[in-house]
Amino acid sequence: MLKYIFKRIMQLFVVLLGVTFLTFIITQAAPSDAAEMKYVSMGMMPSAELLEKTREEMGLNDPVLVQYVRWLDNVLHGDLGESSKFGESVWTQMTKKLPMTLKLAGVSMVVLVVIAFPLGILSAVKKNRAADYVIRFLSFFGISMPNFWLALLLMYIFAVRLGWFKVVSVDSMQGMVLPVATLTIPMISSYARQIRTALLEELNANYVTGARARGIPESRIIWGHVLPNAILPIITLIGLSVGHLLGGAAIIETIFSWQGIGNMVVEAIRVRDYPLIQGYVIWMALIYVTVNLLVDIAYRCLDPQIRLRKRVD
Amino acid sequence: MREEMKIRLRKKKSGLRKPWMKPAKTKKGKWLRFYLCLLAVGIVLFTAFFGRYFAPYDPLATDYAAKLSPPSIAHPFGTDNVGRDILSRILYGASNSFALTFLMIVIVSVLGTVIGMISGFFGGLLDTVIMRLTDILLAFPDTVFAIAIVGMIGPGLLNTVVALAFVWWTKYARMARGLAATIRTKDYITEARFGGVGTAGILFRYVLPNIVPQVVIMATLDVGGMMLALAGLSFLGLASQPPAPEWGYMLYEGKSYLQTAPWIMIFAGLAIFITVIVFNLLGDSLRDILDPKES
Amino acid sequence: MKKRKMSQAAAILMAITMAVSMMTGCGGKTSQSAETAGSKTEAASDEDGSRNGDRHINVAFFWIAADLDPANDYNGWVLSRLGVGESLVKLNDDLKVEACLADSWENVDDTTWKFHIRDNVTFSNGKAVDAEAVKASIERAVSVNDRAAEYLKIDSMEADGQNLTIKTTEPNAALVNNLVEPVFDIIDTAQSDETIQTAPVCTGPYVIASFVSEQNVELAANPSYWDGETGLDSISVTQIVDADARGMAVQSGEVDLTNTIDNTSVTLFTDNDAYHVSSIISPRVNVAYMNHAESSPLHDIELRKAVSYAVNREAYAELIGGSAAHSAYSDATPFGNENITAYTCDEAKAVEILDNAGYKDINNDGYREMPDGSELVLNYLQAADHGSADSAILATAVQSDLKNVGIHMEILAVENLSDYQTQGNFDMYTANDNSAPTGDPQVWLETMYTGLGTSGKKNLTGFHDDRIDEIVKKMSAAFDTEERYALAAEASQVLNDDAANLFLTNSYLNMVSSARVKNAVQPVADFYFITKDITVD
Repeated sequence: MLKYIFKRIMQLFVVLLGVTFLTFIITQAAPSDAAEMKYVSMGMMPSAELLEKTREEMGLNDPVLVQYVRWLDNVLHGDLGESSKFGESVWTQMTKKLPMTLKLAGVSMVVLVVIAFPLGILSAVKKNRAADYVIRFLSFFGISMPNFWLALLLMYIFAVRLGWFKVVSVDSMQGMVLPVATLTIPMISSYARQIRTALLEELNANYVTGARARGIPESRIIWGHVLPNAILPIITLIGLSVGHLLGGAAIIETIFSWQGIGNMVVEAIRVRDYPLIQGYVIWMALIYVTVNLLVDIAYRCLDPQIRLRKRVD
Repeated sequence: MREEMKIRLRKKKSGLRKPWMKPAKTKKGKWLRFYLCLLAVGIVLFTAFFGRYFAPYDPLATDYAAKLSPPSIAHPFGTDNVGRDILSRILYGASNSFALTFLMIVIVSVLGTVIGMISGFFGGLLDTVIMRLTDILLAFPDTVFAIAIVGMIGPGLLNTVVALAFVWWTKYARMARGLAATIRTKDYITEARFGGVGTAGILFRYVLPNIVPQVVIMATLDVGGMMLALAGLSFLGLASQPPAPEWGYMLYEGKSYLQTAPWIMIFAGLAIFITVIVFNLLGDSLRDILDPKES
Repeated sequence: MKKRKMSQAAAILMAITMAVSMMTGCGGKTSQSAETAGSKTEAASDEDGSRNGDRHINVAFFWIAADLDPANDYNGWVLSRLGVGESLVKLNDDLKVEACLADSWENVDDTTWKFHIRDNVTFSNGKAVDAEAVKASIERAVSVNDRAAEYLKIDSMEADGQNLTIKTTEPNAALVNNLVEPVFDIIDTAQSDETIQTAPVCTGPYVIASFVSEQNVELAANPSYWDGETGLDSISVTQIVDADARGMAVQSGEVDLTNTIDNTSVTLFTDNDAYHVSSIISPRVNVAYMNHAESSPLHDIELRKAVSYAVNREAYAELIGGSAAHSAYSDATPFGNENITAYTCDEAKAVEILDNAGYKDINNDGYREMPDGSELVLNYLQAADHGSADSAILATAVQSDLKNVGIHMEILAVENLSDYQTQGNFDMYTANDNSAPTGDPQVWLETMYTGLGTSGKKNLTGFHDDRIDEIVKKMSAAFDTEERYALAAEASQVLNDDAANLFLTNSYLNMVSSARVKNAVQPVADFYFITKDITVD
């Protein structure tokens, strides 16, 4: 087990190296020249010679790989550069805004699990009965609706018309209701369906048929055997959901004026604040990869089948 | 527990899906549903590719006098803030919003499957390299990656689609690899080899048919997913360029008129919604037919 | 108009209260004396409430800067809108200069100005505002901000008690006007840079209680304000970038007062007793700038003229609100727009000009080609301004109108407009620009239409006309206001004759408030917003 974890962590480093490299390369592809940007941001139009000199000074004429190593060295020291928009270091900006996004994503995750699970289970157990049809029908709506459309409708109805919530979401439980709702509704719909599928797959397994034949009560089959087995694909789902939550936050945060990094990056794109975009991408990838590593490890610990196969090998 | 495990293992071994086009024990109802979904998708596809010929107006023609008119006989879906006909814009927009998505999904799924299949079937160093590459790409949540690309290279519909595609092929590659790796060890593959079937033959005759159903299901469901992702980025003003009619951007434009001229948002939103739901239904019904697990 | 009068009445009322309280002496007795004076004014009656701090409103701005240092970039505008920063002089709604921290000034000779600073003014920390403090503040602004240096062209300053003498390097007739710019908001320079960035000590009716960059500012009444009582005890100001969200926040009741609401949304608030709307035609002009560089087809004046005739300004004013623009200066300015010849929409004329200049559709694609037969495509950069949809609507409308006369124009919605501008990579770009930021015509003309001045950086279109350079030079030495206005009109005419740019509409500025907020009036100069007069029932 420890060996596995160690191996996975090594893999994580490779992935992160790739992630930083890719991020760096994308920045290189940006049409604006960093040296020129430096002057433009100061309101100057530099001459060609001055530009060349600045490029030399900034090391922009070095081979890409050399530049990358230098940049990575800075990143590892927590120096992601300075945000041109906010006039402070990217690190400060990230640490200021990240907690808000994590809070939104965290609460959404809890809501997601608390609602999607029972719905998925109900739908699987009551397969092809009224409850199942209703859940599946509604989930189709949830999956197929653009979430910003939903956000605006909810905002209009519940904030503007009814006045229950605020248009500009503040950092409070009440302020989180609408953003969390719009963020989770499509995901709940999708996950309820996937949980249903995972459960049905288990329910069709031979051992269930066998158990039924032996007269074991249906409820004990489900709670005692099917659910524990179906928990694995579901854990993987939760790992993947982090990606959706972090990505989806950009739109939701913009609509609800939630002061997280999603909102920040949209603003950063507007003003071409490259260091900030870079910082955002690296952080998102880091969080996502780490969560999925933990999920994988949990999966290992929980799954008897993989453990067994390992022993046989 | 022990006993169950054994049973599960046994089940996994025998659980190889039957080749494509030979769905197990399909009921009439399932097929009916499938045909209905197919018909609906057909209509959507038709609209996407030929809808523009039915548009009553030029989607770019402004009519200041008729700005923000509610739905009427002259303008069945109303007009927008410069008096453009919304129905015409939606019909034209179909090709922008949808055709590109559709095309991109086709490319991504084919490419991803081929790469994954080769990677899984041959294994070795190639496999390791490809899988590490997908690891790296999958480390970016797809929207985040698209945001990064668009942020650096600049907004634009094509930029956004390419950015999404850049990440999405990995999903197909992973799935195809997993299936191919399992199939590789099967007895009938060894038998076929002994029987003198070449590698290409094995790949096409035995491996591919087992992968295709899964890919088709995934791709069908992904059409909706990509449309929504695109619409979201359009909504942030990152994907589309005005005045080209594009559904996500129409929603963005309509946002300001949520209260004063709601029809702008409603119809553009419905267009996205209907397209996505139709593809999701088809994907679902395909899964019922091709994937016997649920029955 | 009614509202403006009301606010004036309130101001007078408050001034009287103030005067009475002053006469009776020290501040402690203020409320008593006001009551004994018999005219229990609104401000005085609310005095009890002020101790409980229940006169509070929530305000939404479209922009709260990253820091509040007035000398930094345009951040002074925010400080001024907050009712925290004040300058030596201010602009009234006719865009004329009025006394503020300086109560009198004179123009000693062409290059010497004398200002007298009000005697009773203190910073919010109690420190007296004397000429020395003002000098330090202005010097700081000039040294930090290029724009500030350009505005004043200072040679030297001398402080003597309450008297400040400014000597300029050259005749600068616009100096007093330019001093209204919030970059010159007077701050206590003795504070640390950090304090200046987060809670600068100024002289306005409100003081910063807390500040979160680009998010939120909490304001408290300045108890030692020199110009009377403040109408409120505290104000929460939130940044809401999106114009629709600002409007909805007023509807939901979480914001009491906001401005720059799009005209289409204003209809939600007019004719509704629960809200007040205050709209004015602002000095802001929606302009589509045209590239005069040789690289652009618009280098050709005939093409620029044709484009100028092709666009339907009246219709645009209908679409986004406001009025059709007649010149580089907004009709809200007193710069003589009524005397100049402006373009009107005339499709036939545009077609005629194009035909005569050799722009013909050779390949029958519905669009004209250049006289040399090459393709003609104008690229038009459109950037979102202040979270409003107006620029997108204008872009679409211009494109459609140009298509009607056979000109192919493509819109590029960009967020990083300045990159394109500095690279000269455009044929047209739009902006919503303040044509008289200081109530004086010179600055605008100089920065946008000449290569004069050290920065000259805003003249990105490569426009050049000796006549304009000449007019600007004349303006610098023209100390008579009417003469300056006449020169401005002359310049407007030259710009129109040159078809310099597309001046599309003069925009409305809309302020929306819930009915309980009183005396909230949209000022014509848009670097003002919160005033001491704004109060609640």
